[in-house]
This record gives sequence, structure tokens and C-alpha cells, in this order.
Amino acid sequence: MIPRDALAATRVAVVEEGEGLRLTPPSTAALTLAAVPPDGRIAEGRPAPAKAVGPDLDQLALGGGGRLCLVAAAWIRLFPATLAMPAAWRCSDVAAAVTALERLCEHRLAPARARIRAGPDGATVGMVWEGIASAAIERDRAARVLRETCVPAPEIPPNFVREPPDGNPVEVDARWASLRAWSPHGDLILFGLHSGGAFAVLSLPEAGPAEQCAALARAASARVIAPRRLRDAGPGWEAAGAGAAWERLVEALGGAS
Amino acid sequence: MVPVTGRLPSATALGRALRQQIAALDVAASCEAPDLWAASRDCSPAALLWTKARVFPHPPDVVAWPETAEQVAAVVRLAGQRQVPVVPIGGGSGTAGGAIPVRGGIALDTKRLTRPLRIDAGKGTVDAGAGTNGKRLDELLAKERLTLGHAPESLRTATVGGWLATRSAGVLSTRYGVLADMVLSVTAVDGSGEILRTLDGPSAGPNLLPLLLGSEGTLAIFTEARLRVWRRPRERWLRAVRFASLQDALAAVREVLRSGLRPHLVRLHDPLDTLFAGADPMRVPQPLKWLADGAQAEALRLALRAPLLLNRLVDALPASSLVVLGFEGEFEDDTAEEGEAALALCRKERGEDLGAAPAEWWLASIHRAPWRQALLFAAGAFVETLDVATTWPRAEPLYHAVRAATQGLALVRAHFAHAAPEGCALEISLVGPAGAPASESAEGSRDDAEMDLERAQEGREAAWNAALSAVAAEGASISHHSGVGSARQAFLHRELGEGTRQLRALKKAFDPHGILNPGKLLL
Repeated sequence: MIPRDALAATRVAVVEEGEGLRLTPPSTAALTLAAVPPDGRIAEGRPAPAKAVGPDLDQLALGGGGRLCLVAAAWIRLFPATLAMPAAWRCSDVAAAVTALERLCEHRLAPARARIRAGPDGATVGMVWEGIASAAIERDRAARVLRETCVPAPEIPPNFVREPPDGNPVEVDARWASLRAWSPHGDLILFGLHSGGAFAVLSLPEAGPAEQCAALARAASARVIAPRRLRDAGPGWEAAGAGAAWERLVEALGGAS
Repeated sequence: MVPVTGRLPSATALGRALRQQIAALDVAASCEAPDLWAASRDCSPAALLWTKARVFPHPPDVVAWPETAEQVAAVVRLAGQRQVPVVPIGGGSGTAGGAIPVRGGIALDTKRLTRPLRIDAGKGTVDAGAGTNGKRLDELLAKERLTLGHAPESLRTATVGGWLATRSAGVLSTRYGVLADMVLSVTAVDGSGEILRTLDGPSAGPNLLPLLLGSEGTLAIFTEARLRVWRRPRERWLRAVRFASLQDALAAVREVLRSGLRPHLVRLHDPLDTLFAGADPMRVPQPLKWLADGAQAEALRLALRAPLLLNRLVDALPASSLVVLGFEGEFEDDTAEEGEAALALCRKERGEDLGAAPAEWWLASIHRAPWRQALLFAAGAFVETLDVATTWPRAEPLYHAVRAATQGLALVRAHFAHAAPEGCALEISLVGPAGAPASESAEGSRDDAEMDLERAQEGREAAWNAALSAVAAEGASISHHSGVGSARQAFLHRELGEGTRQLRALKKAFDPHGILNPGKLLL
């Protein structure tokens, strides 16, 4: 068990703390949790790859901002440390690079992490795959998928994907369409890629302010999740027709509305 | 339990009144005896034994067939006003008793919630009504060269709503995930009659969707889901690999998963299951059918009276374990490349490649297995099946603990499935005696049938409780994908601990009148 008090704050905290872990969406990074509701009794789940024992109670703690439960401990999924397999391509523009990543996800070839950066002649997209036996296989297949729309860029250094973002970045939870809509503005580091979208660290060239970066992200319908001062509340349970259920749940758990 | 009558359940005064009120909502309803009977049972071993004994202990008062979410909401609001239970039932293929209306009331049959599918191949999604049959959905997606990647053994009878309600998993889960990984959003009706539509995209606060999934009809009734679909693979690579021991086989499967490879099929059979799977010299073409036939059936009933002896005999068999591995993809070279990489890892654990034929044979028979179990019930046996989940380091101790706990109560066979990098499911079958064959029982007296049933349920429950006690003691989860239902409820508190209080808080939030599937999930 690894105590992770910070997990309570937000679903993204695991990713922010995830140095050394293969980056996955935070909702799946925790195998199970020990959570403390307002009555102070610790509710601890049993670690298993999947369970069918009623609703997923861990979700009361993840993303609740501490209003319903605090996280006392978490079972975190760990993966064997492997040599990352990098590759890079050039695309016509940033939007095309986003589309290329979306295509890889459709083919179940999502890299562990990717970076897109605009340049004078289009965009560079770098990716890394992980997995002892699978990384090289997936990288080769990705090259096959991308060869019609992108050009290999072997001159891009392997650490391109690992370099820290420029300027004053914001982190977003976004769909592919949102990432395409934001794309003319700058640099994207993507992780937790899935068929619907990805988490992305967005930054503007010439160190544009984070507020400007966040405003552009919101205009593209992405949800800003970091830094904390700029975090979007986003649509809550009311938007799903469950506003009354939320109020009853807060009352039943003795939490803060 | 109501007395054995041998007759189908009859309409109650409450049922007749509810039928009129539901019909006034323009929703089809019935309290005809065959409808009440059909909605009173599922495919749980307990219910199969009821059927054999002609006992109907939990009929609903009325059955309703809404066709839209709005109609479901209207029925739920009516039930709230009348304070009667509402129990959603889909295909009736559950094995845990989750859809059995233990307190009567309205059985809300979801099979007419079958709005036309909306397939968006570009976005890789399908919108399906909760009543959509699993096999039908698979066929319609196949026409578009798409797949959901969900193939539970109950595919032919189960519905989408049932999958959502139980957090179902299929045999392809290693590649495609369990159902919870496939759902993007749902429409559901909560216990106050509100229609909820979860968001397909980033949202704030706790994620509503996983709080509803797996709630087994106690928090909300699913009416529709948006599911992720994938391009249907063209090529498939299959292999059977034999290991000298279960330990070696588990080590190999774990290494395959930890290497990052994602087979679409991984199943590891214990030594007895390996015989049934047909890879060893003792292979019988259709083992369950053969066992349930004629003279073998009599021998089976006799042998099952001495389960300890049977299990000891099994221990004396060659201890080899069979692993079935499969990869699928667009190109033959791709699947072979991944398959060979997996085989190399198996060889490191002394695995012997048996080729594709035993695996093809296994694959062809997998969806027939549940139906063949019915033959064993008819022959005078019971078959209880548990699917439990744990992490890799605990998998082998869990297997031995369950065997030790149940070996004096039932014949035990098992396999490991739903492998993931962190762990897997252990699926256990417990076979025991259940009285006379169905043909004799049908012609015998009610007293005999009742006595047979009582003895069979006692034996079945003893084996089941011993197995789940061992599972709980080993720190494993009591259900990987079949849900809790009535069958596992007694062990839910050990599983959740203080989490049961959170569960009750959810019940107050989503079902303030306490009418949705009462008596399940400790609610």
C-alpha cells in the first residue's frame, strides 16, 4: 500500500505524481482505494483487476474534491520499467498530427505518451511506446498506419517527448475534436490516450500566460484541470439529470454540498 | 418458500390492480401465470433446482414491458406511489439470482427497450437499447465489420441492460476490457422516476457512470447505452500450450500480460479442467453430455456422493495444465508475431506448444458449455459456478484454498481467465449430487421432489458457502463479473466492510423510496 493523501483532491493527482509510472488515466491508475467518508470509518476495497460487487465505490473518492470522501491509501497499478521505444513523424499541421494520434488509438496502438510541436514546415509528432514485448511491435505497426499521412522524422531526438513543456502550460482533459480545435496555438504533450481523447499539457509559444492558454483551451471545449487556480468545475451531476440525487448523496454521507 | 404446488403461480389482487394501472400508462402488462413464472427465475443453480422440483418461490405480482425510458419512468413513479418493488429483468441469463423478485411487486421486463441501433463507425460508437440481445447486437455490428469485443458465455440470451447491471465480462476481456471499459454513457431511470443521462466526455465531480454500473437494479434501471466499438479483426492466431504444473502455467500467463502483449483469449485450465478441455489422451468428445447420458449418469450420481474420493483421484491424475492463447488483428503476420512472442515466454516456463487444433476445439465449444450444464442438472447433479478475482501473487494460493475448502463437498474443477497485468479471475465449478434425474422427478410425488430439492439446496449451499468463505479469507473479491445477486449477498459485507455504509448512502440518493430491486446488495 502506498499512502497517497493527495489523491483526494482530484482525479488527476495520480498523474501529476506519477513520475516513474507508466502514465494512465487516473481513474484507472488506482486499483482500489481506502477512503474515509465524513463519519471517519475507513472503507477499503479489495484489489482485483475487475470486480462485480455493486457500484464502484472508489468513485466516491476520485474526483469528488474531498466533498464526499478523503483518500487514505491507494493500491496503484505499477508496470515493469521498460526501455521506451520512441519514434517521430512530420505532419502537415498540428491538427493533422492530432488526427494521426486518434487513428493510432482506433487501431489500438496508442503510445504511452506523445508530443506535438508546430514548426515552420508543419508539425512534428513524437511518441513513445512501452511494454517489454509489445513496444517494438506497436511502434512498427504505428509506422504502417501513419505512412500515408505522415513522414518519418528520424532526426528528432528520442527525448523530444520527455522534454518539459514550454512557458506556462495548462493541463486539460479533452476529446480529440477539442485538441484539434486548440491545435493552431502551440505545443501539446499527451498522455492517457484513449479512443475518445487524452489528457494533454498545452502551452503557447513565447511563454504566453497560462490564463490565455486556458481561455483558448476552453474555447476549444476542453476542460482545464491544472493548475488548480484555473481548474474548471465542468458539468456536474445536474447536467446528467442527477442534481437531486447529488444533494441526497451529500446529505446521506454527511459531506459538504 | 411457498409450498410445492406443481402449478404455475397465480395472479394476486395486487397484481391485477397494478396491471390496470400500468396499462393506463400505455405500457403492456400481464399477470398471466406463464409470464409470472418466466419472470420469477434466472439461470442460477438455485433457480434451476426450483424448476426441476416445480417450485416457484418468488413470483412477481405483475410483469410490465415498457418500450421507452419515459415509460420506464412512469412505471417507477407509479411503483413509488404504491410503495411496491420494481425489479428489472433482461434476458434472465444471470447466475446469481440478481433479477429474482424476492419481494414480489413489478417485474420490469426490459426486452422491449430495443430502439433501433445507431452505429457511428467514424466515432466508433453504437447506441443500443437496454433490451438489445447480445447475439443480435454482435451480428448487426458484424455487418458493419465492427465488434464490441464482448463475448460472455451468455451472449445468446443476455441483454445489454443485464451487462450494465452486473458489470459483465466476456472471454475477450484481456484485449477489449470488461463491459465497464466499453461504456461511454448510459440513460437510466432512478428510483424517483428521474431519467438520468450520463455525459459522454469530461465532467466534474465523482464520475456518475461507474456508480450506476453494477448496481444490479438497486439504484437505477438502464434503458440505453452508448458503447465503444472496434474494427472487427480479420485474422486470428490460436495455440494450446501444455505446462507440467499449474505454477508454471500461471507464471507464463503472468509474464505474457506483464510483457505488454494483449491476447484476445487467455484461459488456463487446472488439471481436471484440462481433461475436459480435451488436450490430453483422456479426451472425450463432449464430456458433459457424455457424463449426463444413460449409465454414466447413474455412475455420476453415485460418484458425486463421495466428492472427497473423487477429488483425491483427480489429484492423482497427471498434473498438467492447459493454456489456450489467442491473438487477433488485421493481418496474419501481426497476429503470428504477437503469438510467437507469447510462445517464447511460455517456453521459458517449460510450456509445450500443442498447436492450434486443441485451441480451435476449445473455442468451438465454449459457448455451448452453459447449456450442457443443464444436462447435468437433468441427470441429477448440481453445478455451481463462481467467478472470483484477485491479484497474481494471490492466484495460486486462492485456488488451493478453495479446493481445500470444498473438496469434501463437491467435485471441483477450475480455470483462470480474464487475465490482466495485475491479476485474473478464478472460475470454479462445484459439482454435487442433487437427487433424482429430472425425468424421474417429474413423474414422482411432490413430497419426493420437495425432499430432493431440500437436500440438493443444502449440499449446494454448503459447497458454495465453503468456497466463498475461502475466497473472502484469502482477500480476493467474491465476484469478477457475475454480480452479487441473492447468491453472494451474505458475503458482501466481508467484501466491502465499511463500504456497505457508502452503498446505503447511494441507495438513499438514487432510490429514496427504496423500491428498486429490494433485498439485493444488502439494500
